[in-house]
Amino acid sequence: MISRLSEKLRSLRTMGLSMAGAAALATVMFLPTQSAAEEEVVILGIWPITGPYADMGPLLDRGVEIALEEVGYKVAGKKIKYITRDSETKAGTAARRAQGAIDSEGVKFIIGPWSSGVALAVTEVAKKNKVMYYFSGGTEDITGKRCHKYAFMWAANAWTAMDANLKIFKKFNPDAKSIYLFVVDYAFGWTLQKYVEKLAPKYGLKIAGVDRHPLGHREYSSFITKAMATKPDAVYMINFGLDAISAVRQLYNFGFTPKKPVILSWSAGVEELVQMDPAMRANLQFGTNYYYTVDTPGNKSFVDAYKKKSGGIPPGYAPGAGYGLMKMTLLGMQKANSTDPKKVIQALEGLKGKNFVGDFAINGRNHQTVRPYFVARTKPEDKMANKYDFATIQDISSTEQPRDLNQCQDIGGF
Amino acid sequence: MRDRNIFLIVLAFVVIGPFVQPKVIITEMLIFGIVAVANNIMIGYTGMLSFGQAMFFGIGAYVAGLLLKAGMPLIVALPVGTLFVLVLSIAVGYFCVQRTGLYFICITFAFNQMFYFIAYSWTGLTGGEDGLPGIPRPSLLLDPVAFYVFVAVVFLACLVAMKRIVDSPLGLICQTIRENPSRAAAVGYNVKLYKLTAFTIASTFTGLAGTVYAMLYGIVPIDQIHWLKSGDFIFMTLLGGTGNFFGPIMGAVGYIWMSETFSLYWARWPLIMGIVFVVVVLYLRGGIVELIGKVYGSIQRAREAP
Repeated sequence: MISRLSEKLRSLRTMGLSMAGAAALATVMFLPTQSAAEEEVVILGIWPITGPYADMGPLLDRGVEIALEEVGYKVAGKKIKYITRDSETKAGTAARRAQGAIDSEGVKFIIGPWSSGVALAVTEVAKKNKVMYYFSGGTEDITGKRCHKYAFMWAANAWTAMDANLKIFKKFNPDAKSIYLFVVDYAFGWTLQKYVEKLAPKYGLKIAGVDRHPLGHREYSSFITKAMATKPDAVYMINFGLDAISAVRQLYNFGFTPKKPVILSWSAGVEELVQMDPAMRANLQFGTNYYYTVDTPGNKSFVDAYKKKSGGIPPGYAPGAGYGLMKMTLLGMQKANSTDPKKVIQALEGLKGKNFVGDFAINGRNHQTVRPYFVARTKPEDKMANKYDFATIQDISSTEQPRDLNQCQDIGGF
Repeated sequence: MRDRNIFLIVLAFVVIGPFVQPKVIITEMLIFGIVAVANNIMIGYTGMLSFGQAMFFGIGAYVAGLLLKAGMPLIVALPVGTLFVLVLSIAVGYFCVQRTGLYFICITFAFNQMFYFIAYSWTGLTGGEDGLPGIPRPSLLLDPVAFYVFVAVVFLACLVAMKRIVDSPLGLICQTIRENPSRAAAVGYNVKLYKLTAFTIASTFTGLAGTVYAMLYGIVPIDQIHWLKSGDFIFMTLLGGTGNFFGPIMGAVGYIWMSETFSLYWARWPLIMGIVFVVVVLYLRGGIVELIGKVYGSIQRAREAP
């Protein structure tokens, strides 16, 4: 009897010890993080620090830091606490980290990430938590069919971008009659393709053919021979990063360029061009949301500040986007003289002005930033003033997407 | 260390976790805890390594998400999503268990890729690369605390159910097959049938976890059905330890905790995860449970020493 009682007591003690041990371990492992203080506003930058776009994360972040340094990490009478999280370019992970940062750090504003699929997950988190969200650019759904009161987009609309590319191509190639499309096979690629097919007849162009390839494709020879057989006046590429760079290299190896032009329709600019041999990038036209030679006073100071941090390398689309996102968010806070997301959103809706990329206006109906899209053409090597003097901006287009093409029916309320 | 003590540690974690960390992170740990334990029914108990479990997790999430979006109540969406995965896992599993070892792994991997590309291409249904958004939660579960309690109940119910399964004669037969499939066949067990049963049970619980996940952020991202997610599930299971029923829960918790913590301090944090994986595989085959057991054993010995 006594021995059974003693065993029972021992068992209870072990049970208590186990639970106490677990509690202690949990507390040590999961030390509570600090919430935002009253006098500070917490802004989250969710960037790809690892994963397929890992090279872009630090560049985006560097652009953000320059914008914050310009205001001395203060806005509307509050200190700015800027935190970052790694999206890994995985939508689920990004959603978890955004939600975790909102819960534990008191985040009220989110900027980023660098992928449409990830952005569409983060925008759901922002909506649910009533946190303002500024997306760099890509899928038009953020300001289209999945628009909501808390989400904004910085990059030009896909329709604006494709229109600008075709307009400039036709201007410099008035005799051109057909283009051949290489399209990355996912939603954003299809959206751009849809607009190119819609807009091409307006510029007297026929689509000679379309080849879709998966993301991360590196071997284009079969597409190139097929394209060349149709004798197009240009290859129009709706792909990005290494996919685009690989295709450009192979088009050169097949002798398509420099005889005929290649159009990079949604380019990162410097980050892509720097990876190409000068001979390969001859006769290239590219459209981009940011190019460092944009002639505005704001851009000159940004480029100077960026070069100091990067060892003389000018900023491309990624740092430009980081800088632009933070500038727009700060501008909203300054206009509202508040860091309350609702007041900031109200201040941004319909706002017009000038910034480092030129004139901008924020469409209050869908939260799209209507701003210039830049189309540039590469320079021959002997005309380059320095090793980063890749191209000359040929034109700037801010043509807004026609209202009937925009799928944001109702942006809703707070 | 006794199972009961480990269960108490798990229970303490379920209760204390949301008070010291964001609920969303603890909620994910519980959801993936179900997946890791289910995965262990195959890896640890039956000796089958599947690289295709994300397929069942993702499909469970898609089916439940679509039903919830269509206005179906939770009580319909979750069981239908789980049932769908059960039927699918029987069909997929039938082909997979025809082969063993490396070939089994390859078939599960191939099926995962096949369903991934169906989800990727069928944008009208799944949202493709953009994911399936706008999944509503029932009004009762809108509050994060209420949702956490719901997930905790599902988690504990799944644990009890899976524990009963592995402790039943079926669980013992699975272990026999793991140890020596030829001998198990020689004494009259239909090895393929039992493997298919283990595959179906593990996949169905994984699908159930997927149906719950669909409501967590209101979106099913495409990466939840990618084979890399299957790799994460294996990592979680091995990290926790395949030799103990509760081990994989610790693996899921440890994996998410490490990725959340390390990513805050170092940009190259996956390197640390890689090192941890190597250390576990080389020196700690029993995973976290083995580590805890060793520490616990040392303390016991020290206390008992004269």
